[in-house]
Amino acid sequence: MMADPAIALAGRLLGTLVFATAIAGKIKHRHELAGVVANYRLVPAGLAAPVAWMTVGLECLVALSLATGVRLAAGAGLAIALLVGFALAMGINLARGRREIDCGCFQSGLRQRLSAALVVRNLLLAALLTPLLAAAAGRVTTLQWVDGLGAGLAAYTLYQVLGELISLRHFSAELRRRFA
Amino acid sequence: MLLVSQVMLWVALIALAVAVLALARQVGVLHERIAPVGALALGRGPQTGESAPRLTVRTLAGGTIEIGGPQADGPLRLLFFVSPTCPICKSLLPTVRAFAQSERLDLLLIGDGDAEQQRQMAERQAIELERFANAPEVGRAFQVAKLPYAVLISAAGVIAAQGLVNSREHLESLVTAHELGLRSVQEYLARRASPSV
Repeated sequence: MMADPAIALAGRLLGTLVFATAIAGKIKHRHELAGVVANYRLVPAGLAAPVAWMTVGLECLVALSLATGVRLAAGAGLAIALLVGFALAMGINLARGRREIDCGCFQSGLRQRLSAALVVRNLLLAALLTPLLAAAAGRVTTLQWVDGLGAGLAAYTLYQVLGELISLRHFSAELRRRFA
Repeated sequence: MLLVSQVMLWVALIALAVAVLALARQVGVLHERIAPVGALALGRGPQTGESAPRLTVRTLAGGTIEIGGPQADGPLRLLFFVSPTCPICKSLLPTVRAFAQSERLDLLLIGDGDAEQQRQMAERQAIELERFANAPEVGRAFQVAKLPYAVLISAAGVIAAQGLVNSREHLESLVTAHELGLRSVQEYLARRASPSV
């Protein structure tokens, strides 16, 4: 099934912004990056730094592909693979009971612990990008541009709100416990 | 027409989402700035670090308990001052008992008032009568002016921490203050405000 050009545009903008933010956050916190990867305890400690930088490289490819539309299906596929991979890494650590480690999202100023909500958020984002796998190049009307960019921007802002609310939930739970 | 209205709708939606994001960030900032809460020391009577007044009190069960003075390797003792006419005391009692249990404190409730009313309160709250003394003289010795008040006494018979308590957090602050060697939440906040100290 061909996706409507507006939906494809929205997905591309959302994906570009999400991955660009993730890259910027990782570069800003580059000194903690290897430590965050090592904390997940999924790769040998010596490989933590190479894996961290390979992730950043792959994220750059995704952001470029989604922004420019070059090799869009491959870019979208890689994006979905990364998101599902992150969800899996978080899920494994949640199952191990290691929910106190930082998720490495670097999304807000607050440190974010692992939670099932983050896993769901990643899977939701991956689902939103699936229409791009079958997006076709074609004429895009002005209305479709407006709708696509508007929806993409709105979805990105709401994604940020979601991240913020997920990290706030932990703080609220702590406060409730303190004043119980 | 349709194009213009779509543009307006998206602008409004995105502005709204940005506003929600800003609010969520502000709540996060507030959470980070909330000062730790602690029991308020009232600055009267025997001070923290001094020896606790030595008294012998009669419990509701009829036995006697000695307050103050060194006790051979005993646990920390928590005196909790209550009154049947103090609603916060009653609502805080289950918390105090759970707290004393989890921190392995020797809890002793000190009442001031009608003995029969206190016996009823102890029965309703399922408090052992051996851990409840109706002894107004203890309140006077510690100069307790406001309830619910708690005093933590070390095994050496020294007042380790004390203050007005209204929540589990306040109770926890007593033990934390003892562990940190601070006298009160006021002292902690003052230290935090001037990091050079």
